[in-house]
Amino acid sequence: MTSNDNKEISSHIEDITKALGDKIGKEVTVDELEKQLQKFLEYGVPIQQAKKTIIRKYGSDTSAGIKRKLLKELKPSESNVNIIGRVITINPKEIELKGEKKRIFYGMIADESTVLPFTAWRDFNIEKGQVIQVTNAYTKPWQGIPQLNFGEYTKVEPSKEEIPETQEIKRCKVDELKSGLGSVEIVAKILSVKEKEVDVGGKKKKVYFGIIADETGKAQFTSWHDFNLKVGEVARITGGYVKSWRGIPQLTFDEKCKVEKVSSKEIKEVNIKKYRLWELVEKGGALDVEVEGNVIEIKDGSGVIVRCPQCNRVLFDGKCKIHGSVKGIYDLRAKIVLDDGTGAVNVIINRALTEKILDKNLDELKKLYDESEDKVNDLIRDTLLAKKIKVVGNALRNGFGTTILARKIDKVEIDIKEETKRLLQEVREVSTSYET
Amino acid sequence: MRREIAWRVFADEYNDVTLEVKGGGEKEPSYVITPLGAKINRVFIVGVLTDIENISEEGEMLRAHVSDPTGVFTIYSGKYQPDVTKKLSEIDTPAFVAITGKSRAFEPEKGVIYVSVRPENVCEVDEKTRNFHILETCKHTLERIEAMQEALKLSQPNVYDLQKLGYHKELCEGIINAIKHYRNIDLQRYIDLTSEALNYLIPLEEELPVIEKTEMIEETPTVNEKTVPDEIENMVLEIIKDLESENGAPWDMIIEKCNEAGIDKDLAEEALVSLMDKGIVFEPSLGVIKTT
Repeated sequence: MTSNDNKEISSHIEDITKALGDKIGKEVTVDELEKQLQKFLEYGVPIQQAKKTIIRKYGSDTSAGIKRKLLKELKPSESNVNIIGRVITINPKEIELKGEKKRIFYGMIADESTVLPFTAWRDFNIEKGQVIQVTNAYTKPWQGIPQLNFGEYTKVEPSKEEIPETQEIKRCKVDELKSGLGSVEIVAKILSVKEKEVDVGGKKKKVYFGIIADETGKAQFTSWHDFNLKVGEVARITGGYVKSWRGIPQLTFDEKCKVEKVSSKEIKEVNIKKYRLWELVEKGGALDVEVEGNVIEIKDGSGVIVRCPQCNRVLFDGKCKIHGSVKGIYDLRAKIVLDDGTGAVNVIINRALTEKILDKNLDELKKLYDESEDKVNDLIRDTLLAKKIKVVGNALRNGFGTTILARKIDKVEIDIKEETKRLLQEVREVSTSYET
Repeated sequence: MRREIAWRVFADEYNDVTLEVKGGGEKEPSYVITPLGAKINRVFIVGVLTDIENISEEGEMLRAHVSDPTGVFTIYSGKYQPDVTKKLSEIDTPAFVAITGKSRAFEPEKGVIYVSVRPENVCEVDEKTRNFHILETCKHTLERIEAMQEALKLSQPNVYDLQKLGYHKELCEGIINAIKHYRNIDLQRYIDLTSEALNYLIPLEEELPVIEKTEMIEETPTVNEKTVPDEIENMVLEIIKDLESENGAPWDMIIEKCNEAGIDKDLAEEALVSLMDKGIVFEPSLGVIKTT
């Protein structure tokens, strides 16, 4: 055994003796501890586990022997994580796990270093605002940041220790906002704001929500306090955190945050942001995007459809899943897959846009549909399949990937001769750089 | 669940594949990886559908070929995609078509891989759409060449560092796979191929921007710069016509006959390539030549 190993062991022994406190000397000696630890290590038991086993054996609180980590120190795939943090949000969620319904909780937790998202796989009776001590949690990578998981073997209890609230403030552009970020500072223009009354734990509370933008993009915001934000104003918002709704980032802030108005000259908001499809897929969702790609598939459910007059669901064989046989309302849509060779998204094209693309109104298409269902779908295929189009709309993430609800669709036209010349020039540059 | 990308790739690059990465689990997708690092499970191709052939007695397996300026894609469509097979069988050749499909690799013996495409969607398009697609494919090929150049500059090529340069993850993974598998990737070959595809779009009477070549390149003339005298081409063509049956003539036999007629192997192959470029003959299946 090298002296290095010895040094390491003695530092672990120190941890254990600290944890056991006055039990040392009475119930067990340091020498005995060292022997036991060595034995575990010879058998290949991981050191953290060995330490915990020994501490548990002599009846002490296991969490005390293991140093807590700051949230900022966590890596995306760590086990045996011990932290203390303040619960910023917590929400229940019903999921189906291996065919069984299960109630889990997800939210955000913060300490003095940062904010992270967490998922609790059972009910730990955690409350919003509570400072909790978490032992033996684990992390998983989630959108490039670690997500904390409280599982079967995790212990969650109210913390005896208080933690300071101060956190390092991160200056962000709107495009950099992503779910799980905390303590951000952003300077952005208020594009819209509405107020709404919601029920929070039986109490009525006003929330303010809308859209903010800077030169890099747009995002939604929710404010739990009336900062008297008005459309067109530019505000510096400090201390907010980011949640996401269907992949669209949502900046959330309350009375603890600082909001100040700044001169509107400081900001030039983007109107519509262009993305290559892989960037958008990686991001999940975003407001007001513009993308280009080829239509490589027309999905089932496109064409003339019949909806339930009560719930708007699409009827199958004249029947609604909920309301049974009803006299349906005709509608029209196209569901396509758009692909640019780097990524793929679904695009849903509503009635008005589909009518425009096909250059036929619903009544005309209904006649075709009554002759044969295939005729409308064939028309959509002939018009769209393999074509290169430009789509503008909001992109949302769901279980099927990213879906854009199209607001505008245009054919992409290019001057083939000009583009060929431009590319020949590019080939020449690539060729030269290769040779040198 | 992430949807597989439909890669834009020329037939020549696709047919150069000698690496397949098989998915481990039941639902894990398989990929073929081209020398330029396209990690292909799905492709989107637009080209000329030159021929369709029924290769199964029950009439449920079609083999078709789609030609682009660099080579030919082999398409197999069977009873598991009845709609596409039907649609394909109804198209009169030659026709401009767009095909989205899954990559397929067949490895009859170790190290020998034949790649083909199993279509998911087929439709006829116009010439403009085809030309547009050639440009798009050039753009994507150039991006791969550039990414490959960047990757080769790294002391230890890896996905993480390559991604930081702004290339998408799938491409970076493909490139790192390609670097490990293919030795001495000949980028100049793919640069030339892109340039040929672009020149194809410019009507011949127009003046072409000259691509400067360095001395080093001039010293080692590429195969394409050789010219085959017309009479040799005509001789080879006659030999093919003599040999071919309804299904064409085997490549090896053509070369053998050419040898007997005093045309060496290199020259004969040159002549075949040239005849194919001119559209006088084509390759309905691998190693078989047929006159049009």
